[in-house]
Amino acid sequence: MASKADSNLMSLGSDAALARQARRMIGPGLMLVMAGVIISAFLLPLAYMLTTAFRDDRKMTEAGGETPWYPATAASLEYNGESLPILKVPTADGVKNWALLTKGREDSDFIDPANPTAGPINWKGSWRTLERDWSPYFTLDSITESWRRVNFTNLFKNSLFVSVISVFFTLISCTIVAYGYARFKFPGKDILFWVLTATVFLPQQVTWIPLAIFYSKIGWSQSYLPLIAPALFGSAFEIFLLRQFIMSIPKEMDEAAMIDGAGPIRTLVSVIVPNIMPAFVAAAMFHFFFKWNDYFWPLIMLSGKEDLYTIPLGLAQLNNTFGTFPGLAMASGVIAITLPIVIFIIFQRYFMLGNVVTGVDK
Amino acid sequence: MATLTSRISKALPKSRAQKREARLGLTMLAPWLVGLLFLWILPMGISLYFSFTNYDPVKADQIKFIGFDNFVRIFTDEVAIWSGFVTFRFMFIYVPFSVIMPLLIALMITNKTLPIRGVFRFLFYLPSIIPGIAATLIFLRVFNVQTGWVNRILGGIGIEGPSWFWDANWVTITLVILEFWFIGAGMIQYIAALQNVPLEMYEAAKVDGAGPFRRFFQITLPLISSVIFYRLVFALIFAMQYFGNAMLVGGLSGNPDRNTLFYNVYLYRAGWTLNEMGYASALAWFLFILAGAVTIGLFASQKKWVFYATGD
Repeated sequence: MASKADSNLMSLGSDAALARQARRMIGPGLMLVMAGVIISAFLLPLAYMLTTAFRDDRKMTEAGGETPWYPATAASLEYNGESLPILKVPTADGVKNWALLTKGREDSDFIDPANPTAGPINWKGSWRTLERDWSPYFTLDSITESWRRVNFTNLFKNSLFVSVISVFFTLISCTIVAYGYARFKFPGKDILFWVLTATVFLPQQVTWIPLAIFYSKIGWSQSYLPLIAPALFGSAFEIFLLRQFIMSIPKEMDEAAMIDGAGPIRTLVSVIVPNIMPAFVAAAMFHFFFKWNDYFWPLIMLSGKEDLYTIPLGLAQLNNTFGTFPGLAMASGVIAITLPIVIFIIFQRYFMLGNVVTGVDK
Repeated sequence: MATLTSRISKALPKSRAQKREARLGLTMLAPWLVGLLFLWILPMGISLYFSFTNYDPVKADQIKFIGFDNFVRIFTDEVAIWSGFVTFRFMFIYVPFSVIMPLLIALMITNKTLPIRGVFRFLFYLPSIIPGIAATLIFLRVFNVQTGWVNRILGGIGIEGPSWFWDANWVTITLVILEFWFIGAGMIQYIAALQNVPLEMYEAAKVDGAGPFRRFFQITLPLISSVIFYRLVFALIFAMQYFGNAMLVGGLSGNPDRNTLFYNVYLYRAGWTLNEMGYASALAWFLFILAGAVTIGLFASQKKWVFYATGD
């Protein structure tokens, strides 16, 4: 029965064809392996975070370093109101899973979970050398506990409020300013544009102290106003991005609208904005994450007012309180990065676009 | 006479239109100009004034002009000098790293033999959107000496890992490793620049017998030098302003043993925990001048080595 597979093999049969085929496979194969190794190391912290966030944190933390890498729990036995760890005990009849009752340096007492009424069994050897009975285990306990203890409901509400309002204001102000830069001639334009670029690069530390004093003098400390109000005045990065896009729209389109009697604002709203939607979304995304991740100003202005804390402040605070429980810390990590990652997956294209426009085209 | 009047009458409407355009343009810029005045120029002026005083917000009525004392103090304050050293040491490792690493990743991702390039591009960008504080939180655990995966993996292949964030000699490098997570923007910019290099140039070089290394150094590098320049400026400025992650790792005292006491952490400490806002303003201005000088120097050096495509 000469099957199709046989004839395929025949056609590959000649050495030259095989070699060619192999070469075609090896190049991509090697590259894939190399890129795979690098990306695995690169994303290792994320894998650690996920496995730690969903494990039985208390048991694995108490066990210290000798724990499985996957989310797991260890078996234990309820005995006379106490929770005893079950260890793998080597005996003459093979390895037994026994619960450790009393610890001793040279010998320890164990209970056989299968027959607890039989009483303690004495075993010679150091219990410290014994392994616990781990089994894969997935739980949301750390997530719910850290959500409750850090009050993430509140943090999310605060961060969303600050970020969304800022994005709204900044889109309006930056679009208007970008339109001015892209379409109008006026004296000093070059110098002003140079200043705009400089504000991206120069350290803002030089404005921190007077601004902080000013905000608290006018009664804005421990409120969101110092975080939101600056968005009304545009920000350099977003202005730059939008300007770049507006300049790519043919000027004839504005002129046609102007001839039809539209003023500059009408032109901006009805001609420019619909044509720069990708840049609009990119600028919104950049500003959203800038605000979402901002640490310094919330730290300065909201210090001591915990019910107003944003996510970075809450995270920094919990880093101290969750000291000994990696599971809780990693669970809060999972909570904190989920929304940014979802937004990134949806708007991926615009992030890439924004980066290219601000960093490559000039 | 006739020509003159006609010239004027021609010029007038045009200049009126120009005036109108200028007025409109500046009106459009108004939000940003107001912001520039109130969020930059005025605060800068005020902090410059503070930097010549002993201003302390708690004892605001005792403010006194002390000349250049604050600036002299920066150079005699052993802790300030140390914080400058900590910052410079970080910069020294971070800057070359953050210019080169995204380029290497971008070269790998643009290599046509690599399958599923889009997936890799997505995955290498992914951590860039994670809040810095959250990333630090994760890295503090992954690099934990006993329970973290890094040392467990190293132990598995027989290497005893260092104490990373908790070792004075390793903490700077560990912070740079943490920054590796944020190569996304640089990588995307390099990818775009690499894809802009005209293929014909490679073909021509191949015909001339140039090997892959010569092609890279003589064609690719010059053609992406504008992105290299941009990344370099950004990296330098970023390193000078390093703050949040350092605070989370080392706190105000800059653990371990003051090795994360970055310049900005010290500035924050002087201004907000010790209330020495006059001195903190001087520290801020010193940083500003330094950053300004570096940026201007880099922009001036551009002509020598950065290649901008002309034409279009």
